[in-house]
Amino acid sequence: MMMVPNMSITASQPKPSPRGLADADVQFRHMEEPITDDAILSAKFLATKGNQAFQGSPGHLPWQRWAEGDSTSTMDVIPTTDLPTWLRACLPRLLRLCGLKPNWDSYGSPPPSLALVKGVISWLRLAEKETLPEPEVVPASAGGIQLEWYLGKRELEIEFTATGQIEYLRSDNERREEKEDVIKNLDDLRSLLGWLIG
Amino acid sequence: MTARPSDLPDFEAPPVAEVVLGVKFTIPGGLKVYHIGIYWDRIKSKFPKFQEQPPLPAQDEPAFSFVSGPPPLPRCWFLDDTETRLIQLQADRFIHNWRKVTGKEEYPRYEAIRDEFVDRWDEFCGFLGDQGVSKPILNACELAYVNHISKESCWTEPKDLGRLFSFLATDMSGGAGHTLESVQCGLRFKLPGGNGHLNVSMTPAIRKQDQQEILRFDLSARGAMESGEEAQLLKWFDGARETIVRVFTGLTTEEAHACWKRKT
Repeated sequence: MMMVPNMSITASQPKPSPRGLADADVQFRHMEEPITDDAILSAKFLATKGNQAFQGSPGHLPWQRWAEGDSTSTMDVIPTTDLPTWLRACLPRLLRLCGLKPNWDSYGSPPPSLALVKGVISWLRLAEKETLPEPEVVPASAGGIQLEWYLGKRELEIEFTATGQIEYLRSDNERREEKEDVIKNLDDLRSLLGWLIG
Repeated sequence: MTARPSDLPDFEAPPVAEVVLGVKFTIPGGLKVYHIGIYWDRIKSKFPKFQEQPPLPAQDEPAFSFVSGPPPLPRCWFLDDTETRLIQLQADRFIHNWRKVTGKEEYPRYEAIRDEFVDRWDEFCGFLGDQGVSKPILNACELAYVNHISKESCWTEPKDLGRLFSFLATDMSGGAGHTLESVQCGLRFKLPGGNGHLNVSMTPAIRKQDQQEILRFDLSARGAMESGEEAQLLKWFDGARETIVRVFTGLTTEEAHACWKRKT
């Protein structure tokens, strides 16, 4: 849990929902309340819906906030501060997905938006897993992004949909087990990534 | 066109990627959503493209807000055909940006961008007058230079940045051969004459346009406006620009200047 003293907009606590985080609201609230990582993530990820940027950079230092949150600059750059090496390395591939042509899959899918890429990065940055291998990065239908890890007998696919849902499929080829579900919060994500390298 | 001060440092190939001139204002009675549409119609021949963005937050308001009345106006972007020039308009801001889009555009220089801002601002004020809207009361202004220092242009690893910035150590190994992973920092200067502050920030980033690793080096001056007169505003912009150029030059080394082809 962290204190956020200088944000302009924060998130409500995520509401339990069968559709994951998509039903949570971004709303104004007093700034001195403690904000959980999950609440920040839900705000950040939800803000990607409608191709909007999140206003304010929770937990960031003042110069980061100046550079990002209330900046009048209009150029699309992704700060790489605090990103683990594997995430920094796959960032160019994530960004290249935004350059796909509409209908790239011949099923009418749009390219992933830059806002979705930013949402994916926010989740993975806050998961704080430094030692992961680089994932495969592939576009998913309807403007989503899928990350795929193959590590020994374990495989993990995580899909960030354009509608704000995060789904996964994990396979243990040694035990011949498969599981798929929705990632509801940061603990779920950390746990999955921990399973992969565990 | 406004003249450039002869003793101001000048670079043939500065790393500037975007220049922003903006004002914050209050309009008695407020700007209404229909004004935005009529205004776009007025400028559509020069700025035919439109995007909606979330509004910029107020800079110096208390850290909580109450929502009452109609929802806030969005921040509207009006872009020219090349998307190198755009106007950002929201209920309390008018901002003019020049930016690189392909990366190959030539920097038109501050004087030209300033003159464009003046034309656009006068046009906007004229539009408000035609609509019977009160004249905006200026209360703050901003001038920002966003520099993209590309990897491979004059640095390849974060430790090289010590050779480009005079306030960084030339030995960036932490004194014990450690590998520097990234450099990020912020500096804050007072503008001369109590005219506000200059915030300088350095952030490693990756640019969407070409997926290049860059060091984003921002110099952003902000100040309060007391009289709200346009002459004072332009004087503030010119003074802030001079401070930005001198601070940029002072914070960077001769090796960096050679990379950006310093002329004077």
